[in-house]
Amino acid sequence: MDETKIINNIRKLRFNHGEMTQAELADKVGVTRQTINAIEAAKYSPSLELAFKIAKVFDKPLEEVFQYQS
Amino acid sequence: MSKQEILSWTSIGFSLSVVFFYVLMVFGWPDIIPDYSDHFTKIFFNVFWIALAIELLIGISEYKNKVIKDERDEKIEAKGLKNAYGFLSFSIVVILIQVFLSNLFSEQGSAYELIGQPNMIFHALFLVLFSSSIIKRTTMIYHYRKIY
Repeated sequence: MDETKIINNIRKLRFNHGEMTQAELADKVGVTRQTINAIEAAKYSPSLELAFKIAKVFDKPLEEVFQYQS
Repeated sequence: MSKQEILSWTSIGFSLSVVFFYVLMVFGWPDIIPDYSDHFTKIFFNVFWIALAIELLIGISEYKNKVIKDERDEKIEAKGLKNAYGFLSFSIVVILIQVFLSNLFSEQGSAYELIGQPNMIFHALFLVLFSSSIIKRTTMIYHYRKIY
């Protein structure tokens, strides 16, 4: 399976939020650290619910965190 | 490596050990291969207990951690289950056809009777069951390592 077309700014947003670790973000949204790592690497597209949770952690609208690459 | 991936490895080790001991007990070591049964018995005995110990340790640690399985793990498990179900369905159809043919041609020769015997059906179903478990876990590991 190829990498997904959904790209994201999670790494940059984590850095801007006090260098939040993947584990900390994972705890906040209720997933494992490996899932955050896979999302960041664009290997896994999160569900809509998880995407909204991640955006809420960074206090950003969804489209600022995730973008669809056409 | 996530806990679900570790559990997939231990499950494969556990299933392979069970299959090895079962085949060795029922059919014995094949004559055409030099007898390494003692050597393999030791290896699979160790694999069996190590896999069991790791699964117990992970089971205990589950109480301490908040999240050990999430949507990604469930998606990967679904892919494993899909492949295992396909294999299981195909194998059962093959066994049923064999049983049907055994009954149909049982008077023509002993070879046709082989799979039709209840103990052979039991062995076949037992091995198919554990093989489907190995297929499920192998698929999951493939997706953990290569795709997600």
